Amino acid sequence: MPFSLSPDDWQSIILTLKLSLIVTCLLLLACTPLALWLSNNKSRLAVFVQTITALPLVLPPTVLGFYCLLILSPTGFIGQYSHWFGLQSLAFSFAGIVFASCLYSLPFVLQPLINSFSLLDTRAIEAARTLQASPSDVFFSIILPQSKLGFISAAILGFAHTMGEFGVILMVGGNIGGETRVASLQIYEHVESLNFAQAHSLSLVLLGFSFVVLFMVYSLGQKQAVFK
Amino acid sequence: MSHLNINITQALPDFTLAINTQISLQGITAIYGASGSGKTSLLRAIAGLNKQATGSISLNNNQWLKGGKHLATHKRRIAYVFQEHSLFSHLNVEGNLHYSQRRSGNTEPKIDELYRQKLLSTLNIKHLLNRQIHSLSGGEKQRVAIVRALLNKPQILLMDEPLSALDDSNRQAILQLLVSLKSILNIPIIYVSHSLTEISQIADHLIWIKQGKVIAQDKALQLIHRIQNERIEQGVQSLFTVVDATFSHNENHISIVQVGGTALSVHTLDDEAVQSGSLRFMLWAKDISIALSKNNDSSILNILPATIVAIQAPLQYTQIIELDCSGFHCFVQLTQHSCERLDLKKGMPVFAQVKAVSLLK
Repeated sequence: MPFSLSPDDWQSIILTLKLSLIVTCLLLLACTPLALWLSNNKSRLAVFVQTITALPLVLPPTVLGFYCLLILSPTGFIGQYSHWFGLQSLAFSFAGIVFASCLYSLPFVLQPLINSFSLLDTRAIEAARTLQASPSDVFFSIILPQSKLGFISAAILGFAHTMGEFGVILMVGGNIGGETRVASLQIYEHVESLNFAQAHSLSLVLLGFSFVVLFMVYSLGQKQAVFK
Repeated sequence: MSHLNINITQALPDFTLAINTQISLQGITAIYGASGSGKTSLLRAIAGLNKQATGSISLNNNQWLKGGKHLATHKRRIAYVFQEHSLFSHLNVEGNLHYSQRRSGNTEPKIDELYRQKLLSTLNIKHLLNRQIHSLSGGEKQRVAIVRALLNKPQILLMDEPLSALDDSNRQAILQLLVSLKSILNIPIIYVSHSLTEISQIADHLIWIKQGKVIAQDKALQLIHRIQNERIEQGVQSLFTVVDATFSHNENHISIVQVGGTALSVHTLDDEAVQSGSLRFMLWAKDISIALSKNNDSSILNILPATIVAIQAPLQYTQIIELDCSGFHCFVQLTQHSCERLDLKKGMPVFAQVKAVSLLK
């Protein structure tokens, strides 16, 4: 079976990478303050928030996708504002799958960050404050470098998990070439149309990529253990 | 002179911290109290790290705390040396020092460099600059932490039991360094400790805290004497007396120092000690004995005329005698048998034979 990728396959790969990159960046921005708050807070509210944010881990992607579809539809909770972004509807659009993917991959970015922040040296943070470092200064000069490995593993896991998404995107995005048809959906298409050779090629690309990503995460874990 | 005005309360698990005091910011002010008496909570409130304290804290006219409103720690111009090490593990020694210096707000590089060099050599950490934090010993870490704090040019240096995690020799070395720092820098220090011997060596002023309240506040030596008196009642042994002295002259390889109206012979003092001007000595109660007449056939050099002020018997077979040696009071620890043999009574004139006098600073 010759290894070959059609232009459509390439398009789906590029779309997947673009989606993963955007989602990872958005999640890192949103999860950093949330993780800082959660790692320092033992209140009922914090437990509640932590439960909510862990839901995507256990919910079937179809359930998550279904609710996303509801709130993104033109009359939905968020969808009614979609004209602000110059869109007819968020459902069945790239912006829509970005939103849904953010929800879906949230725990994979949030959890490594919480773990890493809860290991932070609080003495060092207090010491920095007594040396006239403002809160944002403390964040960039102490917290960020001391939880560097946490950020890297959060980013890798978020990216990889978004790449492997299928059910949620199918529900929210439909299957529109160049807009919402990511690599996993493209493989599904190939299989549906009994085009196994191309399904193989694309699957192999995803398999290789996933292996490399996981290998990086675990090597990082080892490095962390050595430097502790 | 600057004053730190403190009037704070805070509910702690076992008692309420209620401190109302004024600290004159000059030299080293020690805050003394048993473990768990609220010393650290007080120091952290001064630093703005303890957000549970309410009331008021002000430095001169700057309000640091008013009601429950705290001025953020980074705006207070204090530096803090913690009990356990607080160095940044992602930076090396040089990086830690640079971190502090960059945020000191000073813009005169030449003066800064001089100041830095002086600190590096005084605290003997020049050879450590390229080391990683995890490779330092406990004593080295605290020395780096002290230099890092001072490079930030604080208005006050706060120290919370900075030596309690160290062994004896390191502790002595750093105490000596702190004393010499005091003479070259003009940064007031507030020093929290539960060790009276540590405080005796460095403190100018002393605040005594018990169960979250200020029991007394005075010049260090006076208050140390008072605290010792309380320790006798509690049956605590290893009493000592601390005296401040001035250098008089050297004769026969012995230095003569003056304490009040009394001359004491001590080991030859080196030039540095003589020039520092302030000499402080410690006399252990176990190292003093009492004679009824002045012996001239003894190896003991310091035989001082004295009057018995008080006799206490904290333990069976042990008596603590307080003597007035014209100029200072000191404690003597004797066996009950000796006291009875000499028939010692309050008000009796005697001679104190001081076997050892150790230099503290």
